[in-house]
Amino acid sequence: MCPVGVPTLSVPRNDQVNVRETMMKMWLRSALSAAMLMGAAGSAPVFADDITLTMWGQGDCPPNACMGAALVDAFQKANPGIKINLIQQPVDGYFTNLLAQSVIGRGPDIASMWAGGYMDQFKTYMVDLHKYVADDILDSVNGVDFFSEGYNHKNAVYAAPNTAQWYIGYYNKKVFKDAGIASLPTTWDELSADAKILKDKGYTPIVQGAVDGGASFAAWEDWSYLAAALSPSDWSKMLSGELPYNNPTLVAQLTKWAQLFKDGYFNADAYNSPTALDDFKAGKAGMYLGGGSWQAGQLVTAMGEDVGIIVPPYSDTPTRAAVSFAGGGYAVFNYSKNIDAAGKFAAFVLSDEGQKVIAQFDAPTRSGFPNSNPLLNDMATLSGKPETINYPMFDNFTQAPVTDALARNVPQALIGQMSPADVLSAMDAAYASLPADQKKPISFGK
Amino acid sequence: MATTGRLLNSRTASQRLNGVLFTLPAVLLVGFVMGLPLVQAAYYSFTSWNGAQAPFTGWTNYLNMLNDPELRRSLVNSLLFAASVPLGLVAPFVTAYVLHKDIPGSRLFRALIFAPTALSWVVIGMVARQFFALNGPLNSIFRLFGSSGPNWLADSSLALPAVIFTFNAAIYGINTIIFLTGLATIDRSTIEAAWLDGAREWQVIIHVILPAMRRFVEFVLIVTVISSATGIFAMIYVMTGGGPGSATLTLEFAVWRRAFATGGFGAGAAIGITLMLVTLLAIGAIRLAMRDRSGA
Repeated sequence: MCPVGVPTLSVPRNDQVNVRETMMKMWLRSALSAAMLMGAAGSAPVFADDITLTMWGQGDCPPNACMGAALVDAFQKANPGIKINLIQQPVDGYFTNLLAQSVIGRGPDIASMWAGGYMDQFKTYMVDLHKYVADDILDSVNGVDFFSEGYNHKNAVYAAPNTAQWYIGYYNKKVFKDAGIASLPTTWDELSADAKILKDKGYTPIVQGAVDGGASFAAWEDWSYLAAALSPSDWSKMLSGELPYNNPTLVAQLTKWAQLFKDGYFNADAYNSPTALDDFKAGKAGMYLGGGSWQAGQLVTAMGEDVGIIVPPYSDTPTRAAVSFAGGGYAVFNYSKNIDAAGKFAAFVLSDEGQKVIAQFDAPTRSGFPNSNPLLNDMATLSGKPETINYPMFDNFTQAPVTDALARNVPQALIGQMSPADVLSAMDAAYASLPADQKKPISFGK
Repeated sequence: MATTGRLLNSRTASQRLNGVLFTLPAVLLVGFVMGLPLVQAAYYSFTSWNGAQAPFTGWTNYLNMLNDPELRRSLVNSLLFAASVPLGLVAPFVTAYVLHKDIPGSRLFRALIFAPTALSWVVIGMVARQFFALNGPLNSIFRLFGSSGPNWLADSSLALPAVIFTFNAAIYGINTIIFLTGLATIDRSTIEAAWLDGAREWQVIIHVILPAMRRFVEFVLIVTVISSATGIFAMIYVMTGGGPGSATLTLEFAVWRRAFATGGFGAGAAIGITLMLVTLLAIGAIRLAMRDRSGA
């Protein structure tokens, strides 16, 4: 049997008509077989009991401390017909990669999502989860409004929030004790004094680096605490262009931050150290100030009771800031070929079963599911104190070009390669370059 | 005769038709996967496409590029990459020449030199990142002399040379193999004739071998310049992310950053079209230079 599209070789010589007909048949066969192949590829059947979804997570996901993987495992056990391939993407460039794939409709079925400005650019690609999650469940989810149209979950809900999150620093209690430091620093001066003590003792006072898989460190956490020298209403003004980024307060803040590096209180490769977090876990450093609540699990696992939280004391007066926000969420994308199965996963995240899984790693978004991580409880306590001023995560509200300018330039301010004024001017220039429709007042929601 | 002529004409027409029909699928495929996106990109470069809407803005994206210091920097960086290519070909040529002499162990050396070619740019970037790290192997040399060495990839004046070096090191193996292939095609009798005429080794290389290798050199130059312009995004992404700031930003990287990091797809398309034109100009310049040399 001759396979379709393979020409026969019995073409009579000197027979023009036969040659032409044979050639025409060959061409038609080739074209037909190509069309059949293309058609077959485009209409491959998907069986209801054999659905495979792709899900993107962000950053490293250590096997024993990966909430996303645990959620996927639990979901697959509860839904044997659905398999989820979890792919961890680097934090650096995560949203740009997701946008690139979404624009061409080839992104994941489910993806980790951040609220605010990060999410806004994906609204046209995300599915309203009301179809999959009951209203009474949504009413009970803390932070769901951040993922909703108009910050109201009665409108479209674009992602199922999985955790409450904080930007926070960590310190090594054992190292502090060894250095004879009894209380945590709460101001620039105290931070500088304690850093000197730690350095004299042979420790790296503050460690920083490319801990999330990027080429340099992400400055979001430090920036939010640096900017906390201004009030939340001033944040709104900066984000809306009423107050320039290049203002005396922020210049002074960045200058003091850079001075710490200049004085040798950071690791010399703070810009791009690939081992910063490992060094902190190993007890080589006293403080890691650019962290977040998502690292609490792995730090407790590695350091036990030796690790504690510290508010980055980037303040002239005792700091009262806490930066917290709805953590990540899981969004379902409308170009998915298995939207309902993906929606089922989003519903699972908010279900009792899903919340129990989350509680093993992080702070769940529904009450009644306590977690055992003391650091997360400390963060919740910090935010609940009456004297605490709770700020949202600044970068969740910056426009994409401003976020880009922040990400590229703020780390350079720390290591002295750009002056604070130049860094802030670059952010102002990025804001100035925005089209008119993006220069609008920014809301922090509730 | 007339009948034979008609038959020949008929055959020619038939063959032409068959030729057209047989190449048509390939032409359509290439047009579909290459031509259409190119036309689309050219169109979008004249719009402020944000991924959903694409209002026509004329030459705005191109004019903005002229006034954008970051893009000017990326153009300079791309040109520096391209300028490094001829220098980067010296080592592969010398290596190929030495290996061609069948020195002991040359087969092993060939395998070792070619092996890294199988690595992806991502892996190359990761290895290079460790190599240039503050506490990495390169700085261990500095430590021997009591200095800690610089943080190469964090220093805006050192990061670009480090990335360019990595690129040239990465293409060293494949270019060596191509030169080896070229050397194998040279008629040994011409070289032996030069020896007999009393030519020295360097004279043989310059006056016999290099002219005979002209096509290979041209090929390697063109392919490497194209790689430097359009093929090393992943390596830069892993090593420096285009930073510090814009220190290692190339036009190729700027396309991605402008389109996806800031949502300016129209502006990204304009940079992409510019990159294509710059690359074509570079290729044209190489071909012209090589042609002139052959005519000299």
